[in-house]
Amino acid sequence: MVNGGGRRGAVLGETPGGDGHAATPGNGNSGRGAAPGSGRRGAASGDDGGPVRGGAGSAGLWLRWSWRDLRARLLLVVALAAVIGEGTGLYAGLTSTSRWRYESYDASFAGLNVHDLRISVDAGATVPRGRLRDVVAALPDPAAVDASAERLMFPTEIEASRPGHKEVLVRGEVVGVDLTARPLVDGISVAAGRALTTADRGRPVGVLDHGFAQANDLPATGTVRISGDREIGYVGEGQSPEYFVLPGEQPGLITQAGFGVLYTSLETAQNLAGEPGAVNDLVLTARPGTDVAALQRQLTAAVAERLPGVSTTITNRDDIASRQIMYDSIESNQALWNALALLVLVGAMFAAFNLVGRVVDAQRREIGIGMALGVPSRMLALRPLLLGLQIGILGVLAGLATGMIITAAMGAMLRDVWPLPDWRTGFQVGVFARAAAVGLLLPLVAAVHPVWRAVRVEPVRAIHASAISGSTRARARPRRRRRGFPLPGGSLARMPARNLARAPRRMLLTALGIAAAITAQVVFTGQLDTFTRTTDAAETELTSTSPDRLRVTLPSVQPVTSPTVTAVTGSPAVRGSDATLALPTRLLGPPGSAPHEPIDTLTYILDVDNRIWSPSITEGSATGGLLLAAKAAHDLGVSVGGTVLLRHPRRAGDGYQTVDTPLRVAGIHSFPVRSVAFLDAADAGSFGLAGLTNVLTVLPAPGYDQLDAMRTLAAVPGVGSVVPATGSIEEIRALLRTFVGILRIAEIAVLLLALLIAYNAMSIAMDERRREQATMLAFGLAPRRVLALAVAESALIGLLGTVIGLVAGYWTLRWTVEVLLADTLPDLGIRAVLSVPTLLTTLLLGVFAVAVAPLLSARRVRRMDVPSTLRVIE
Amino acid sequence: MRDADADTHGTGPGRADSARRDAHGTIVPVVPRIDLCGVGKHYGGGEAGVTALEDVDLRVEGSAFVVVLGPSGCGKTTLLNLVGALDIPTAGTVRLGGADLTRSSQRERREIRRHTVSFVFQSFNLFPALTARENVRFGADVAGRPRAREVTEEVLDGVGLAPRGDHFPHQLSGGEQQRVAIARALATGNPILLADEPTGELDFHTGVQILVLLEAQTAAGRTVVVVTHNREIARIADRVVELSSGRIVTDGPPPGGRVPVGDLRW
Ligand SMILES: Nc1ncnc2c1ncn2[C@@H]1O[C@H](COP(=O)(O)OP(=O)(O)OP(=O)(O)O)[C@@H](O)[C@H]1O
Ligand SMILES: [Mg+2]
Repeated sequence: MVNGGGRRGAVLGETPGGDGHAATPGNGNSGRGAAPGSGRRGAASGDDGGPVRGGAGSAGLWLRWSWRDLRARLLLVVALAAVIGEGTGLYAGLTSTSRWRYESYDASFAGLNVHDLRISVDAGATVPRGRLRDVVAALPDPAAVDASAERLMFPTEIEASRPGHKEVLVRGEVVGVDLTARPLVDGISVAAGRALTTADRGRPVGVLDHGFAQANDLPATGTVRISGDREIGYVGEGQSPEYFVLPGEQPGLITQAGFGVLYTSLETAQNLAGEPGAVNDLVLTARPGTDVAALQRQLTAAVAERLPGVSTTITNRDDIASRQIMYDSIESNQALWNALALLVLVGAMFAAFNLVGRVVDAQRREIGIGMALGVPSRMLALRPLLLGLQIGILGVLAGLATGMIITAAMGAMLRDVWPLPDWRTGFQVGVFARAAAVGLLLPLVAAVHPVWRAVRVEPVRAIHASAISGSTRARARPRRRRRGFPLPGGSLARMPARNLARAPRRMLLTALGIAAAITAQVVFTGQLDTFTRTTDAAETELTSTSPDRLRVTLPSVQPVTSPTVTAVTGSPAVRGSDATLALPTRLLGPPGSAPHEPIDTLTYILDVDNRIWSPSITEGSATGGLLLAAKAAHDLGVSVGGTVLLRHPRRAGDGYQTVDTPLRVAGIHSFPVRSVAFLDAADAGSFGLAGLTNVLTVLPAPGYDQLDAMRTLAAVPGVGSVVPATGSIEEIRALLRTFVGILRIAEIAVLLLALLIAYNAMSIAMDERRREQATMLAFGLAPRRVLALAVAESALIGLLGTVIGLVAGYWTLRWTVEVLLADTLPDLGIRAVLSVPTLLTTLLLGVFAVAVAPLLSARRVRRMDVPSTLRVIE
Repeated sequence: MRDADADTHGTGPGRADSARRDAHGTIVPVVPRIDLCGVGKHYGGGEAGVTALEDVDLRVEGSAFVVVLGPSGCGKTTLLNLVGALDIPTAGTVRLGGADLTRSSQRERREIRRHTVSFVFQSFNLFPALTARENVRFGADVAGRPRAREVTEEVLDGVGLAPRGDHFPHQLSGGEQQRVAIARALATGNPILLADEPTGELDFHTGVQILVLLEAQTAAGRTVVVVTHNREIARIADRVVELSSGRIVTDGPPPGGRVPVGDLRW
């Protein structure tokens, strides 16, 4: 190949003067490129250099030539490389998240010595310290247990309000750990302040859960109050595996700000509970290689033998709720990010592909000249391919930079919104290498196609003045096209539309490049809109009436006449109350239908005519059956009037039994959480639960603000927890926070990408118009008007691209929300929405930003060296 | 479009000082005087630079048919660009109708290009997206001529291309494209017509057609400056300016006197 071109190149290498013309300042790119080609004509008839000199001259020439190509288009090459870089970088960032999670979760759980098995004593009972350890010691093979630690844990209200700050009063838990246990099973990380030491045993100090503290903006050290009006100082913030994520009150949701954990020494917890020497929990780790399932069976047997009459629950690592929530969501979340990353990558690649293609297209005439002179095709292909390679290499470098920035931003965001002891958000070399390979290959492939097209046409066609512009098909039917486009106005007014119509293929490619960017933009921003709308819908529904109402949860189901209930309803802090029964239930789908994935729900049995609050209905009626969330009805395949099986407890004698009752779906409520169902008390007759309650909805009395009322009610004996009834909003937000965080970062990157693509598309279009612009200037047209024409042309392309992008974006958004998000966030009923601001931003971006892109080259037009530009004969 | 029309009625520096009507009642502006004094044009700096023009003095007054003659690379196009306010010299002054182009602002020079001179380029430079008719119309539009549509038809007919008006440049032969380029320049109605090698790529027959067309413009009161390396064409000129290596070597009526176009042959 080198030899083949060498002889040809020798001719070129000695061409005198060719470079002089080429270097004309302000000359069009085509001018620079064309110069050696035209020089060749002069020299071809002259003397032929010797093969040795020729060989060297040839390589030098081709290098110089491609260097000039690069220099002439440097800005464009850099901008194209930025598109590729941005696409690959964002791809690498988004697709990294699942690896980050696996690594970070594994490291965080392992680092704190998460338990393999846990024995917890049920329902408020305790055993003397040492008894649980004895059980472990009594195992057939005590050496199978690596480490164990006893704990005392009890629920409490935690108040961390400070003057001048948001008031914080939440349900929570005190976890007393045996600080003498080495190593400590389910350890506590230190995120701020200091860790607890053995010196803290029995002292009224603790460590506050870091996630809770951060979500509520609490300082690293301070004091909190717990139930019983006791004040405890905390010396730092930390985290423990079971509390990395907390399930919300509503099944399927999680909470961060709404649940506090105070870690103390075992002795301190005992003091606080007023039960010195008592424990109710033991966690242990098994020796590596132990059959944990077998150990769990042995432990169950040992407990039964050693602690007769004590009701306990034995769970293993897989039962840890936080662990389940964390690991279960990785894959489904990643499916979403992969799809979005792919969308960005495809969008960027598509745009880059067609932009590189167009740049190379502009060289087709030169290729034609080369062919006419008998240069082998592979030699001609070299120059455009070199350009593609340059773009690719710069693109990979830009991608590396973008990837690092995005990775760093996402890592910082994850650390921030979701604290974990050991976040590992390093640069994923493997993921990036894949993206980089695409980024490198793509411009090359993009260059190949136009070259292939160019070398296939007859040279004479390529040399023909207009061959570089417009498709053959469009040229074949000018008259028809003219009649098809009766354009008003003079020649100038027609110019933009004409320019576009002349080359419909090129116009469409440009528009599609812009559309790809717009699509990605619509999908990313649309997702955020969708999330915002979901949270807003929940908020609207919950605050429609009595927004300051409280939810008093009782630890057990009891008659509405029980002392606790009467104490609450009769409290001076309460103006009015409604008794509700929140039943853990399971929706099984229509009876007799193919089995559906059951949905765990809390079914609230209430009086739908409640004074304080009752659900609003979007479809059907409030009475005559079950009220389901739209998402639940959809997932079960039922609609209003249909029937579903509800698995629920029914009173049988003194106890309960679980039964499946077919219930008519009376209506759809407007709360977007799948696990919420309502049933009018009148329709729950067969449940045998009339007159029972476990959740009281109360209104603070005049003179009591929400917090006063919460304090007062939390102090009522027998009350489980008191929270604002609007707490589920925080739980929905907590569920969405990482998505929103990642989307916000990606959104900025995508916006930048869209702008880059728009800029590239337009700067290429401007390049193609240079000669015509010079002609207009020569006729005395003001640069302002020349630019105005370019702006008009851009605006038309922008409009076309935006319309295509909006349509494609909307459907892609719907697909991501209805198919991908439905899997990723199964518990939320999410409907795709595009907000008006998003639509306006998109229009502004697509039409306005694209339209004004030519103004970026205003200087070039104003300072154009008209004589030189016109001098070049194409 | 409105913008261009509005400017027509202004009195920018490029406006011809006065106007008169020709036989058909068309307004033909009085030709402003072309005045080049000690003009030089040097490209690039230092020893590597190229001197395209040196110490050129040239004065053209009233309507005339001027041929600038010289071998390739002697600076003809450069000279034309200077007269056409497309470029400024590196030495000397260029005046057009009293206005010193070397001192005028970009904007003033632009106004001159709009209203005083019009170009026929060596390489046509038609707008590929516009039809022949629209290319011609562009000339009328940009100069802000009233009755642009009629002017367009008139001029297109004048170059004999009325039947090809709806064709795009790539569908026309080189000679036809050249004629469209001339028609576009004529449609501006500007008093000075600058044509760079208008017959360079044409056969004799077509070349003569073009020359007839250009000569007719002098009859209509315009000044036509034609650049060529073809000595034969110089024979029909009122005045021949011969350039060699950037300098004027002769300036005067053609040797042997002016002949009618019909007597040409090459
Ligand atoms: N931008 C430029 N930079 C350097 N030299 C230039 C530039 N433009 C023109 N020249 C040189 O100026 C000289 C005159 O050029 P010009 O185009 O005026 O010649 P010409 O007489 O029109 O030639 P032709 O008959 O071949 O068109 C040439 O030697 C040319 O190389
Ligand atoms: Mg020339």
